[in-house]
Amino acid sequence: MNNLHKRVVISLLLLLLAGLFMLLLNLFFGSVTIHPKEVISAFLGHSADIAESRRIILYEFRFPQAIVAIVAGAGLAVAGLLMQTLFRNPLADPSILGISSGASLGVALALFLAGSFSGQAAVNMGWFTSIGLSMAAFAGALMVLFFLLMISGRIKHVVTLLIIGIMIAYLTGSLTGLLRYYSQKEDIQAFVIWGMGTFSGVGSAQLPFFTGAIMLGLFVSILLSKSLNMILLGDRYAQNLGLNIKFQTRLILLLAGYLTAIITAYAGPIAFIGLAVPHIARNLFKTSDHRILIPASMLSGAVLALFCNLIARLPGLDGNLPINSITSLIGAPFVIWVMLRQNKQSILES
Amino acid sequence: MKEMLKLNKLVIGYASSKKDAKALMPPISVSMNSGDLVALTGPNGAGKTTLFRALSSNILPLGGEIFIDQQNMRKLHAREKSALLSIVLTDRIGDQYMKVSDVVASGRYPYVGIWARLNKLDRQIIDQSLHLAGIEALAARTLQSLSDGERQKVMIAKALAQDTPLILMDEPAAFLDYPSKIALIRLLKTLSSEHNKTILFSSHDLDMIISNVDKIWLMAPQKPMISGIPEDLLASGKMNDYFGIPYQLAHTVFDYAGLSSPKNNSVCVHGVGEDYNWLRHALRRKGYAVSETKGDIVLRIADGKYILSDKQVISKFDTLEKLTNEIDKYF
Repeated sequence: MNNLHKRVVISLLLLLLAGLFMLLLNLFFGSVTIHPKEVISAFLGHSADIAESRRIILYEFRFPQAIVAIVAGAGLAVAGLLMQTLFRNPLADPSILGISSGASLGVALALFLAGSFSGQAAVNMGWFTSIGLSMAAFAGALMVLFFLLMISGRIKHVVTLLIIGIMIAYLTGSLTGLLRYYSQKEDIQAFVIWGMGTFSGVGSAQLPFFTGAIMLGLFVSILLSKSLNMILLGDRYAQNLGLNIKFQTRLILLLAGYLTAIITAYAGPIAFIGLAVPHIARNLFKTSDHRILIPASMLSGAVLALFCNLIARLPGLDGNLPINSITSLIGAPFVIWVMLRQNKQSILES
Repeated sequence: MKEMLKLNKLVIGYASSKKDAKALMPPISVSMNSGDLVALTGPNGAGKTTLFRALSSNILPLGGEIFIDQQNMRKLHAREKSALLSIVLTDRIGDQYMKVSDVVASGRYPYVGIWARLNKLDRQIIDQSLHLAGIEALAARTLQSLSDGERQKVMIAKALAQDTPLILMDEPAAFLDYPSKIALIRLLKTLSSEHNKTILFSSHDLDMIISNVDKIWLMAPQKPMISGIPEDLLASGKMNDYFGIPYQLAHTVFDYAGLSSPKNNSVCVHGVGEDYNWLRHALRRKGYAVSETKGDIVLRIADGKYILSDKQVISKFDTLEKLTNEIDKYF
């Protein structure tokens, strides 16, 4: 028992080290290579040792971007884990309830309304900045979340909720399509770019708010470990062990929705991390215990997001590829590999 | 004897709205004592699962009360209920990484804090539960790698770890082969007779339950539930009536009746016919040696009554349940 405990702690530490390593790589490499020495001295407060331009790149761009990647990666991974456990479905992810398509609808609606009232493309108006898009996305996501919470009380079976969520995703998706059809060309482009996802959309002014809000959600998720373990046993066993299923279901929905809404508002609808990372965490730690899976998912999510962020800069290190494509490009083969490996193991076992 | 489960005019069924409630059967008033092993049986659609759902607070009864260990279930919190009643289902649970030890440990969840930290006592109880269920060797295995019979034992070990006086089992024998069924019923008998667990389980396996349980709760759609020892329900023809087909004790290859621990006393029964067969069956199920010629007491049947006689007294009984209770006291 104790050995097992030690192994878990060591594995978590290794993941943390991998995360730190990825963070440093994210700070070093880019259109301008910043020497490790400079990075370290900058963080130790010897700003005199580093040129002003590089200091700005580091503080204003690379560092906030890396932090957003870490926080968003961890948050999406946990939101995905919550959904997979709540629905006891390995294909569930943060977008499955239509919360991120709600965010898309919010953005499309805001662009459309601003565009049609002013008669010109919304993006050409000075005030319609990325903050405006974030607010619109957040409002759209919350709208869907509140609707789900409202109906969750009337629903007996969690599968029904899942199906309703998927229907909402279709509904908002088609509304988004209609709005785009009637929108200005420039606005459509802005929408497409938003939909590609980015970790650089959070300015350093909003960084503390974004980080704090997600950290709060992550902390609450840790408090839910025991409830999640019970839910994995099925509703009837969970209830018999003293769990208030209705209340916990709402709490998990609220938490996953909260994380997804905030992250999608700032970073766009980032695919795949929420689906893939819980599988990676389970496979790395060979456990179904959420007391281990939650921190493992946070760390794995952060590492994967940092890695994707680095890859997105790759073409000559000065590129800015859409994160959404990169996450799937890297994540999908990885998950296939994990699944095949697992399949081989179970054949050997049987 | 202590009353462990009592149903007082319990009405079960489903209500689509408050006005439109459909009761599955007349109100149920029945009880079981501490340490009893009782089987719930009846044809499909009789309401066994509905009754179990009501007992485990998964659905609300339409009326009446459930008392477990003298406490009204309507007045208890989920946490308090979880210390009185544990359940064993046939649902497949968990993902491919869930371990036997995790599942059994979850039986301690009602007693541990938010971090699910187990103390020394919790660990002791978990080890004991694994031992009682006979699955210590499986503790590190994943649930998915087990057979149905082994998985059933894991869920029983979880219920034991939950440390409740009452255990409900929904169709525990449903997916088991004969050896696993015998192992299961042996385990249930040990738990009830030696560890004072009160166990109510549903089953369609009449051969198995008739020879092994203390009582049967018999149900059929729209009929009142009746409770009695197996032989009474058979001898009186109730079993045939509720199932709608005649039942005869099959002489199966596996002798379930041989599972009872034998007693030293012998009983003399001579007589032939169906009624005498059930009388002998009831005695053997209780572990008494039945002889044709000699015994500490003599039993016979006359005018539909069971007559017990020894050197001094003669007493008459309406049912086998009353007779066997008297014999238990006698020795």
